[in-house]
Amino acid sequence: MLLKPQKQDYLIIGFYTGKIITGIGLVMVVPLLTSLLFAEWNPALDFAIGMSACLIVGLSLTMLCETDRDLLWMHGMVTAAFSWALATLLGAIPHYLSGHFLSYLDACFDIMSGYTTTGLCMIQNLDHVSHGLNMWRHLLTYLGGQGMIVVAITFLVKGTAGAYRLYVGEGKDERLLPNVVQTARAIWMISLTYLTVGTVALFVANLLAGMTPLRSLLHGLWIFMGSWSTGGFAPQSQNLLYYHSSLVELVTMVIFVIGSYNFALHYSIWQGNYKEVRRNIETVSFSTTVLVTSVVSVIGLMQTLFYPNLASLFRRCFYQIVSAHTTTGNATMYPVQFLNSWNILATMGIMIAMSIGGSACSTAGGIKGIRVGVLFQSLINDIHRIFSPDSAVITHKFHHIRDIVLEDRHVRAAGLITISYMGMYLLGAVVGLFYGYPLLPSLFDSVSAGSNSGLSCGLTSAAMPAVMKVVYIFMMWAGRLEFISIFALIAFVWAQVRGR
Amino acid sequence: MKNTGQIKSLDQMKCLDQIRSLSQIKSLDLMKSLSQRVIFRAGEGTKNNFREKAHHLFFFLFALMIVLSPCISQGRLLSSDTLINQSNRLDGQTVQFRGEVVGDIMDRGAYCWINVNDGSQALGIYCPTSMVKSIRFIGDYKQNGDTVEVSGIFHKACKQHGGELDIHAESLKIIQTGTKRKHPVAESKLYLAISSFFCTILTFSLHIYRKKNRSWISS
Repeated sequence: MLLKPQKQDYLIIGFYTGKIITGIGLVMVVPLLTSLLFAEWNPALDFAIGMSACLIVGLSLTMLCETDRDLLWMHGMVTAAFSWALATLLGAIPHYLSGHFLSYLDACFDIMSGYTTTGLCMIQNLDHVSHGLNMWRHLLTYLGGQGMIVVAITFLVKGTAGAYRLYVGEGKDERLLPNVVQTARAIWMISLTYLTVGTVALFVANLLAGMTPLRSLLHGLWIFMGSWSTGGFAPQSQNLLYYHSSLVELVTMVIFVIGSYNFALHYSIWQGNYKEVRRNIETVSFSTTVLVTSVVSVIGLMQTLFYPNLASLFRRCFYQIVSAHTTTGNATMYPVQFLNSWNILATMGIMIAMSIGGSACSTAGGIKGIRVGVLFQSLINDIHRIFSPDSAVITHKFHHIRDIVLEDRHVRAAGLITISYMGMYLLGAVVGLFYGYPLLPSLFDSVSAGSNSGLSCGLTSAAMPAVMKVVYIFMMWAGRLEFISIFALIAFVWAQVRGR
Repeated sequence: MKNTGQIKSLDQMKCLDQIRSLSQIKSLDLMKSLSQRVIFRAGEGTKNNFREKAHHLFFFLFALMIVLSPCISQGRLLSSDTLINQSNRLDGQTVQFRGEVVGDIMDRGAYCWINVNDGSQALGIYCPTSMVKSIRFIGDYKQNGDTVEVSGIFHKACKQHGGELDIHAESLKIIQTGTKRKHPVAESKLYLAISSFFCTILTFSLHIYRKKNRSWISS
């Protein structure tokens, strides 16, 4: 029996959603200052309006729904899902006012794509976008990578048990430190350190590529934010192809591989436990699946004879594979080339890589390496059991920060989420087919949206039917929050309608 | 990856397409009138004469095709979409590509990279640094870049540049000089920003007042 939500439930959800929206409003100070710095008056006004809207809504919600009660699991989940949706609607204001979007839906699409670190976009005339708007595009994907709720927990929410439930609602469940506020701060410490190092590295790479110092710095910062968060946004329409630089490609590849690792793994390395990189189930799973998908795509590309030599083939193929596998979506080729230059086998390698994705509790999306690892271990376990006497007790362990005995609950949880992702990829493909798109691009872009990858073979564009845009927005949202929060929000609405 | 188009430049592209199609129609009309004249003359003669005239017509058309074909292929501008979609067919050929210079001129010593956007997509152009010295405007938020026409060798996967799709320029000419882009502040936007700013101040003051009031009551 579903219990109808009480007034108190609404107050708790409203109060914490208000805090998160206030946080988003405060973050808009950065692109506002950037616009003022570069004398971009129109974008400055866009951000002033967007920021005001966020602060008015956020502060009003915290005042109207003021409560001292802590969050229960249901509140944490519903707040996470609802705040992401509301933040998308409000965050899209500067995007829409910029005049670079054909509709408000397109602006919302790009915002959701940024928050969820997907990287698909509908923006028009990207090569003439202001510095302020570029700062906002990349900043929101950087924040989305760490998690908007992590931002709010760090600065605006008290470290209670409820805050942890809010944190879990965002698809993260690793507690790096006993207190969730300390955990959020540790995530920020890791991210900001890499931000400094990565921006400097890309600044140098851009200078060597022949850019001016100021543009090298700005592009370095933005590409870092896009790569680290595995978002894949870039300030120019050609994405990473713009730079024509193997060094920039190499540096970004290192950044998005590191960005796709679990924050718990980062923290473990910070504490000097370097062996964890070699032993962790996620790094082992990631290395294995990168190798397998690379081999698949390389064989496919060798059949096409498209590239003049092995070095070119490997450079193009490996970059797209790693970008897809980490769900980044940075690309060094044009979208339609997946269809007209690569064959189905090579493109299939990219799709498999995208669907698996990076690590849990990281900036990456997709099914996640830990689930693939657990399911594989479970398969090995079952085969082992078949070949053992009935009386034998067989236990398998996997290593993730510590040794964990593989139990049925781990396999069930991994299986459930994997099936949910597969179902979502299929749903997006069916919608594409319904609108008359061929199977391969429908499936490719669907997997890309659902796994928050951002690679496209040309289907995703402003010309796409509005229903498909809405479906993709939902897929990006559900994929990033790993379904549970979305199911909780749907159940909450259902309980309001049918509960007692 | 991101699939982007450009509103203004798309309009420019449409105009270009119209101009191209108009020129095609003109050349078709010319061909029609020429062939009609020859056929009219052929119809005047006897049967033997007719065969001879038909041969003449055939050779005339054949010669016309030979004479015109290089002019047509050299004069034809290719769009980025055509180059990317038909990369296998056009690989290694001399092509002409026209568009706006955007972003940066990336100096690599004797050679440099520029990115030229034709309204649909931007392509990388690899050219001698001396060739780009006349470029004054590069497209960004504050200016429209120079429109250039590049003639060069197209590579679907350049061996020299790690399999990149690019054009190695042999000549580059500026078709249109870039301009400063004007971004006048809309009055409505200004009023909206000012009013929303005051609303934010009001909401924030109320929030602070409530907070202080609550802490005073609780103490």
